[in-house]
Amino acid sequence: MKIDALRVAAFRRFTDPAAIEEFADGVNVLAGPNEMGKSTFFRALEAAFLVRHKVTGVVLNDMRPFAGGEPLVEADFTRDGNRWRIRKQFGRGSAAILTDLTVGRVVARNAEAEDQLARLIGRPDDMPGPLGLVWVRQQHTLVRPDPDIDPETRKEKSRGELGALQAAIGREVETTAGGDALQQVQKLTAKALDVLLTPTRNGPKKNGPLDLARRARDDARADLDGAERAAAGAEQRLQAIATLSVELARLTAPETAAARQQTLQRLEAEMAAEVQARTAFDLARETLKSRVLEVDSARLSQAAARSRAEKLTALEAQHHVALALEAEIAANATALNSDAATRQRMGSLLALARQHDVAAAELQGDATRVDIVLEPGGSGRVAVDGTVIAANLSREITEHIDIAIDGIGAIRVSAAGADRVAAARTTRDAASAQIAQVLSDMGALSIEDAQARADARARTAEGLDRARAKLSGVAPGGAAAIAAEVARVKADAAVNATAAPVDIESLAAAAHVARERFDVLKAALRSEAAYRDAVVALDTARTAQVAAAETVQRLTNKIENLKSEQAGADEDGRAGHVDALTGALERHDVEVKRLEAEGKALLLLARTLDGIEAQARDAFFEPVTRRLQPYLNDVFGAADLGFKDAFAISGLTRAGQREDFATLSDGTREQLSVLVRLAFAELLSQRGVPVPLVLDDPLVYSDDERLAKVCQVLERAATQLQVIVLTCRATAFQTLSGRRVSLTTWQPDRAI
Amino acid sequence: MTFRFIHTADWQLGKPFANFPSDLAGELAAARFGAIARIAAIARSKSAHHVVVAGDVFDSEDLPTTVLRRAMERMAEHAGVTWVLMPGNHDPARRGGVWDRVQRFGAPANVMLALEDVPLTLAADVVLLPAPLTTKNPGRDPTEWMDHAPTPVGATRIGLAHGSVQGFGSDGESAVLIARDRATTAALSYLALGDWHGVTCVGPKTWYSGTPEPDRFPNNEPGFVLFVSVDAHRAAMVEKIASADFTWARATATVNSISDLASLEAQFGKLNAAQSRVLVRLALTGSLSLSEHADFDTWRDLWSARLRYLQVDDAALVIRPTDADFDSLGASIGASGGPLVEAARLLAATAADPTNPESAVATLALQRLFGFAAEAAREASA
Repeated sequence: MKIDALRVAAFRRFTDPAAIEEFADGVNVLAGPNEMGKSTFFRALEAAFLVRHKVTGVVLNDMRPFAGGEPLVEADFTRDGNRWRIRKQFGRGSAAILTDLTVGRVVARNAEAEDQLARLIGRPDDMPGPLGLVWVRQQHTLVRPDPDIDPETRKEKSRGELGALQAAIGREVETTAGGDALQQVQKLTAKALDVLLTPTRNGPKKNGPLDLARRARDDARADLDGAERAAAGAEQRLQAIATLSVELARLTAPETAAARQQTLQRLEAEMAAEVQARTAFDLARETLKSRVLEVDSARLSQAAARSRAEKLTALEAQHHVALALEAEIAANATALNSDAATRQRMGSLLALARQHDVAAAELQGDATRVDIVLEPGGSGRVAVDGTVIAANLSREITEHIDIAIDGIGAIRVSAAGADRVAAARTTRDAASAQIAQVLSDMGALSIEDAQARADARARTAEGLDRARAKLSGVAPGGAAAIAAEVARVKADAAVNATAAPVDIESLAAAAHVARERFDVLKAALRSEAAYRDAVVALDTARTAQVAAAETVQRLTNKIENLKSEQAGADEDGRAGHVDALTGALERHDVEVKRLEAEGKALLLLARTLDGIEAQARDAFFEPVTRRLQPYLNDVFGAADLGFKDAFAISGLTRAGQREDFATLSDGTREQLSVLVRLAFAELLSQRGVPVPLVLDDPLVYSDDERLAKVCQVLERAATQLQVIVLTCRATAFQTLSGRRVSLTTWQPDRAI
Repeated sequence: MTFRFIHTADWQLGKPFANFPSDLAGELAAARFGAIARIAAIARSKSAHHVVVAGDVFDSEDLPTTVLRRAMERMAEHAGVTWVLMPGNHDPARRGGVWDRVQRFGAPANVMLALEDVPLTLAADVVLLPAPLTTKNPGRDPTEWMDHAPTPVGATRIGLAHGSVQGFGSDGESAVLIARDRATTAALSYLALGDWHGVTCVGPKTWYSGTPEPDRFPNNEPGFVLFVSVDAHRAAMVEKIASADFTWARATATVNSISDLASLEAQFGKLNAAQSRVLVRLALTGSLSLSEHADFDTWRDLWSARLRYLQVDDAALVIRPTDADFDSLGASIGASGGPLVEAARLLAATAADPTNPESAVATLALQRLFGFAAEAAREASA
C-alpha cells in the first residue's frame, strides 16, 4: 500500500480544511516548524485507516478541534495498482465511504467500507494490523511492537501488530510455522495450570480443584479417622462387655459365692471363740491382780497399826519430859523474878564502889601533914579544930586545920588543893550514900554479900536457860503440841481399830486360786502370732466378701454403662460409616491423584512447549535480524541486536560488548527503533503486506553523523518502501533526498 | 414328609458401597433390602414357608438401629414366610451387639433368631441346628456341637453355619473353619452355609447359597438363593434360583484398534439383563493411537451412560501417537511441522519409554497437547 494523499477538516488543530496531496513512492518529507500540525496529520492518518467512524468518547473528543466541529478525514491510497479513497466523517453524521478511484465509484459505505479497507491494507482480522507497527509516533521510541492497544477501547488486543508481524514471519519461516498455535497452546496450558496451581506453580491454587480435592481428601481422612476411632471404641466396648460379663458370671456363680460365704463363717466362728477365750483370760488376769492387791493392802494396814502404837509410846514419854521441864522453867523464872540481885544492880554497885574508892584515894593522896607536939605544959591549951588536944597530934590535912592555942591565938593551916579535895569528898560521900541505897535494895549487907547474892541469881538464870533449851529440843511446840499429837494418833488408832479385822491368810489363799485360773486360761490361748494371723485371715475374708459384692456392683454398672454407651453409639451410627468413609476417602484420593497427575502433565507440557519455543525463538527472529543486519552495520558498524519475547529488543552487541537496551542512550534507542521498524516494514512488504513507514519527528536525539547514516538507510529502503517523514527540523533532514510535501488547502466536497 | 425351605446367606444389609458414586451407592444399598421381597416372592412361588439365612444378615455391628428395624419390618411384611436369622462374622451375636439391639426392640413374630447353639424346631420332625458366631473370629469350628445335638428320633436335621469349609477354597471372609464332613458326622440332611458369596456345592448335602444380591465384581456366582427340599430318608434336592436385581460383570479386553471395542459390546449384550441394571468393571490392555484414544473416550462416555456403571481400568492401555496423529496435529494448526508437532514428538518419546519415570505423565501431557491444539484450531476457525 502506498499513501497518495491525506486531507482533514475540523480535525484537532485544523479547524479549516487542509491537505497533503501527491505523496510519492520512496521518501516523502513534510518539514515545517512546530505547531504546524505534523502530528495532527499523523493522527489523521491513524484516524483514516485505524479508527472506526462510529467512534465516540475520548477518541472522538481527542480528534475534535477546540473550536468545535465534526472531524472529517480523507485518504487516497494505492494497493496493487488500484487507487482508492477512504473518507471518514466522525461524530455527528458519522460515515465511512470507500471509493474505487480507478473506476470513480463508491464501493462500500460505513462498516462495510471499513471491512473492505481492512482487507485492502492487509489486516484481515483486526483493525490495527501491521500499520501501527511501522508508524513511529513523535518521540515514541519502540521498545517492542507497539502495544497492541485498540485505540477505541484502549484495551490490549489479542491479535494486533504483534500477531501481524508473527504471521508475516510465519509465512516466511517454515520451521516456525505454528508459532501462533504454539502460543495458543501455551496460553491454554497456562490457563489450565492457573486453575490448578498458584501462579508460581509451587502449590495448588487456593480453592482451586486440586486444593479443594486435597482438602476434601484430608477432611475425608479426618472423618474416617473419627469413624474408625468410633468403630474401635464400639469394638472395644463389645469386647469389654463380653469379658466383663464372663467375669460377672464367675463372681455371681452360686458355688463361688457359697464357698466364699462358708470360709467367712468359719473364720468368724473361730474368731468369736478366740475373742471369748481372750475375754475370760483378761477377766482372770484382772481378778488375780485384785487378789494380790488385797493381800498387799492387808499387810500394809497391819504394819501401820504397829507403827502408830510405837509412836504413841514415844510421844507420851516425850510429853512427860516436857511437862517436867516446863515446871522447872516456871520455878526458875519465879525465883529470878523475886531476886533483886540482878546483874544490873550488881554492876551499879561495883561502879559506885569504884567511884567511892577513887574519891577516897584522891582525898588521901594530897594531904598536908601537921604535927603538933605539945610542950609539957601545953596540954590542954591547944585545941585543934575546936577540940583541945591533950597529947601531941599529927594530922594530915587535905583542906585546912584550925589550931587554936589558948591564949595565943588561932592558927589555920589550909592544904594546897582544898577545893578539889572538897569535890572528892562530895563524890565519896554521894557514892557512899548510893552504895548504901543499892545494898539496901539488894537486901545485902555489904558489897561482898551483894556479890554473893548476885552470883546466886546468875546461877538460877543459867538453870532456866538450860531448861528452856532442853524443852525446845524435846518439844518445840511445847507439851501441849505433843499432847495434841498424842490425841491425833490415839484418834487414828481408834479409827483403824473400828475396821473389820483382816484375814491375810484367807486373802492369800484367794490370790493363789486366781493365779491358778489365770495360768490355765493363759495356756489355753493361741499364740499372739497365730491370733494376728487369724485376725488378718478374717479381715481378708471380710474384705474379699465386700470386694466381691462391690466388684459385682461395679461390673454390673460398668456393663450397663457400656451397653448404654454402645446404644448411644449405635443410634449415632458413626462407627458404621467406616466403610462409607473409606470409600469416600478412596474416591477423594483418586481425584487428588488424578488432579496431581493432571498438574504434572500440564507442567511437563508447559516445560516442553517452553523448550520448543526457546529453540524456535532464534529461528523465529531470523527474518527480522536478517533484514536488520545491513542497516545495523551501516549505522553502528559491526553490531548484533538481540530480541526478547514479543520482539522487544533485549540489547545491542557492539564489538563483542553486549549492552542492555535500557542502558543505551536515547539517541541509540531511537535509531534502533527506526531501524527495527524499517526491517519490520520490509518484512511485511516482502510478505505481501506492503505498508508505508511513517516517522513522526524521528531521531530528535541523534547527532548529525548518525542522523546522516540513518537517512542513508532510509533512502536505500525507500527503493522498496514508501517512507513518510514528518519533521520540524528541515535542515537536519536536508540530506534526505526525496519529495518535499507541503500543506495545501482543501475544499471538501459534500458528496458524502 | 418333605420339608421345603429357601437357603440364603450374606445379605449384608446396610453395606454402604461408598467407593461408588453416591446415587449408585444408594441404589445398590436399596437393592440389598429389595432382596427380602424378592426372596419372599420366590418362597411363595415354591410353597416354602421358611427362609434360613446362614449368617451376615447385616453388614456390620455398627449400623444405626433404624437400619435394623427397617430390615425387620421388611421381613414382617411377608407374614407367610418364617425367617430364621443367624449371626455371621459381620454381625456376631455379642452382648451389646446388633442382635442385642434387635432383641431390645423385638423381632417380628415371623422372625426366629438363631443366636445360640440350641436346636430350633421348624416343623414336626424337622430340627434346625444353628451354629451362630458370637465373635468375629471364634477360632473354633462352631458346627462341632451338631455331632452331639440331641433331636427326636427320626427327625430331619438341618445344619446352619457360617464360615469356610476346611480344605475348600480360600476366599471365604472369616477365619472360621468348618469340618468338610460335618453333614455326615452330625447326621444332617442338609448343611446350609454362608460366607462364600457365590453359589457353591461343597458336597451333596453341603451348599453355599451365596449372596442373593451381588456386592462386588465377582469371580464366583452371586445373585441366587437355593430352594431346598429335604426329608429324613432321601438326599436333599437343591435348586438354584436367580434373585439379583443388579448384574455385576467383570470384563477384560485387549484393544489395539477402535474396532476391538465391538467384541466388548457383544459381551455386554450377552449379560441377559437390562443394560440399566448392569455394572461392569473393564480392564483394558493394548495400545491405541491418540485419535483412536479420543474415539475410545467417546465410546466410554456412551457406555457409561448405557450401563448403570462402567469402571474402566486403562492403566495398562498404552497411548501411542502415530504419524497420522502428528499429521492431524499439523493439519489442525495449518502446518505440517512446527513447534507443536516437535513438542508432541518429544512427549511421545518420553511416553513410549517405560524406563522414564515421567512416562505416564508424558502420555497425559500428550493428550492435553492434542486437546489444546484442537481447541486452538477451533478458536482460530471460529
